[in-house]
Amino acid sequence: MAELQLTPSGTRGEGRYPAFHALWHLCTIGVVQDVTTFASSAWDLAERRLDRPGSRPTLVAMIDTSVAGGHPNLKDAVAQDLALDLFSAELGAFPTPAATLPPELSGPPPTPATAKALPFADRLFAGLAARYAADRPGAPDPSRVFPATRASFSAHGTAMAGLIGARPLGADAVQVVGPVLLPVPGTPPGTGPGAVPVTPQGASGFAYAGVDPYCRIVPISTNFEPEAEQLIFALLYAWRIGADLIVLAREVSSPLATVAPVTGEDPDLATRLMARLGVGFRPDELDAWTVFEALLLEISRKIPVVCAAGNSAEDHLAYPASLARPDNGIIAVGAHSSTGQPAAFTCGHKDVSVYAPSGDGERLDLAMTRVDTDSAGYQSTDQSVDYLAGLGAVPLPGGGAATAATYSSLDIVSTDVPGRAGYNSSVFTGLATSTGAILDYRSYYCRFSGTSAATAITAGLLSLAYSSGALKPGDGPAAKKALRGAGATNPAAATPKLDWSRLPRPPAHPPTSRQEVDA
Amino acid sequence: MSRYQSILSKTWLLAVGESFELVDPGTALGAVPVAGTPAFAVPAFAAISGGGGGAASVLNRNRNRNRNRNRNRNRNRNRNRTALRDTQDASGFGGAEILLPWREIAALHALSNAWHDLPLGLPPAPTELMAQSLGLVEKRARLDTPAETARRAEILRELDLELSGYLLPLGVESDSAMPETTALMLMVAWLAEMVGLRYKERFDAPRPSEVNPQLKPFVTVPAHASYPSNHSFLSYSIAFVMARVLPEHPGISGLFHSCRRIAENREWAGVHYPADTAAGRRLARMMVPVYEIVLEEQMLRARAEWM
Repeated sequence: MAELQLTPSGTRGEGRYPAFHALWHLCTIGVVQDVTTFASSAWDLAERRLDRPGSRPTLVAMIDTSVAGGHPNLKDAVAQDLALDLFSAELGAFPTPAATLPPELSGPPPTPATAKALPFADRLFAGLAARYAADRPGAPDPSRVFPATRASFSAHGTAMAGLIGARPLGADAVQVVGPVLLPVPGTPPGTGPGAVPVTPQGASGFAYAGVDPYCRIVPISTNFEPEAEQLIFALLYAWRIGADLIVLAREVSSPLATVAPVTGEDPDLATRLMARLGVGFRPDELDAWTVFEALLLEISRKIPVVCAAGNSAEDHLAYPASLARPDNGIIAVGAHSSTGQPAAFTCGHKDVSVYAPSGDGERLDLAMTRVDTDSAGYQSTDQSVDYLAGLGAVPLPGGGAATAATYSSLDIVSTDVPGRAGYNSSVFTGLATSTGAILDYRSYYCRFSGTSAATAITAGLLSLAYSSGALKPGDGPAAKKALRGAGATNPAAATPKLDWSRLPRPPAHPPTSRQEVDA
Repeated sequence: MSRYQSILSKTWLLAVGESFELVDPGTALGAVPVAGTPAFAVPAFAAISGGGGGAASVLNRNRNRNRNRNRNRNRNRNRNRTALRDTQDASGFGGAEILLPWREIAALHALSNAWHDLPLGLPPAPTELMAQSLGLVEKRARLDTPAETARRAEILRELDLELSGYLLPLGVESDSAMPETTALMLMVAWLAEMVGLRYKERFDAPRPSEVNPQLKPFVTVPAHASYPSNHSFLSYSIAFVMARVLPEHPGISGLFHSCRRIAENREWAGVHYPADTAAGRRLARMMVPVYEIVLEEQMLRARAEWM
């Protein structure tokens, strides 16, 4: 008798995806030669430079959510002593202050890049050392506002930080165990599967690396309220600690996002914005947004600010990536998939500064047909004419060419909040055994996508350029120009893809410290 | 040769289906791929996959094909825990209830040292209250004009807790569509109500209509003190908690605007000063470190609905 089938074989996706190496993007951007040897001249240079006396790691200020800093791959990458949380406290709270004030916070604060920000700088910097001390555990302060940095709600920042600067850990640095097996009831003790841990298959060690595993990442967490003050404080703090670059992957909901960059006074602007928002928008709030934009533009001329271009597949840049111009250091990052084509979701505006690797998406509209034919939800009989018209060749490992219709199932992989929380949830609540061994290492990693992932990878490459001596810090527009490469001076030309080979070659004997570079 | 080269070449982290595997490249795959090949065909690891185990579903709206499956899984697992009861009206909102969140209330009071003395700031002095009330008189007069018809309806709808102002900005069109998210908002409301009343009693600030008899409130004046506004505190508490649960959601900014309007509507109704509204927002922001401990379980369940 013939078997009745809802969907005949061959007319739908099977849901069988090939596995892939989590660090494929490091090959794509040319940081490592391959994933067999992991040879990397860039890492070699950065390591030699860092090992010399007086050197200083590149400092990456990441304005994002909080970070699960206890992740094994991140504990040496995240500068816990400098982390600042602006989610709950107006002037910020230090989640993990050190016993002594870090050198980055010692001495008189620098003058902010723009005079407009002076009142905010005065508020943030006044008494900062005292607030740092007051946030140490056990400090007597009954009115303390605690930071909102619980690891459970730190997924985005954890994934961003991993892509930028995660450190690989060898088998000697981390112990991975399997679950304990209960004995089969009724069998004699010591026989059969007993109280012996199941050894995980394969090698141990946490073999994951960020693009620049030599940098230090400073999490500056904010609360995503459409309010300018905390973002001004975040920028000023990055300025205060001497960050070499700033990562700002979020879209900022400023009322100025829909108007041109500030070019002069507009007396009617506040009124028009009030009407649009439907709330009692005050003139001083508009002033704060103006300060934010001016400060961002000014700071970016010294410290490059790496921003996400946006995920809506539309032809307008997310704010503040939309402020990117040749004369500032705002870098608008779009996403391309593993096939090299723009990802289905990415913003495709001409002012995208650079495209970097990310995952892909599905689209079936008049502008693009890109469908995941491996998905169990795909049926070839649906919209088959429209789809097949643009399908072309499907790339397979070892052969085949990609077309605009080719969907890539390769996501970016990054570090995740361990356990139930994060993007990749564990079936276990407690992951560490009494000896510190880790159960279910799988939940320490996640798939990540969007222009956020591309932004983190770009920030990592820029950081690596500083760490290796290929670029000198302190010039935002120059950093952007270098990322785009010498052949991308024509704005009308196709936006380049992120590639280590575009950057200038580091000197044969890299300087020993940032001071020497600056000199 | 960098210090990391040997670690990475000895162990591969592979994305396999919805999960990950650390493998020995020399043995697990049977053969070492050609150097320089960034992609792999590993039939031994082929598995059911597609966007799970990752951020793609939230960060990229084109990649949310597993949403319904995950939502159903969590709904079944937690049905008895949160016991959302929904007697919604035709609008899709207004009937959601939960059992008394006694665990969360107990945890809140166990942590009272972290929230009973937050630096909220003192309420304005009577002279300033009178000055702020003049602005309320003007708003109250404008409220009766045709231009504010919609706001009048909003104020009446928002007299009691009604979730459309919090769920719609996130794209949720009824109380029951995202039951764990709805339950979380109701829990936040329970906790905020208690915390807010404690602060109100301490300051015992008079209502605007007590300070300025010219002001005729549009709604019944509550029997408790004015500072801080509990409508503002509750609304912003929901917004800040959701910003912690789902910072990636593109509707978070809209949620904040909606919460702000709900809070400001109480000024238009003549029952709160702008100072009360601002204090409610400040208190909500400072309370988030407490909420994310007390409500951690429910916040994780709510987040899982969106993954």
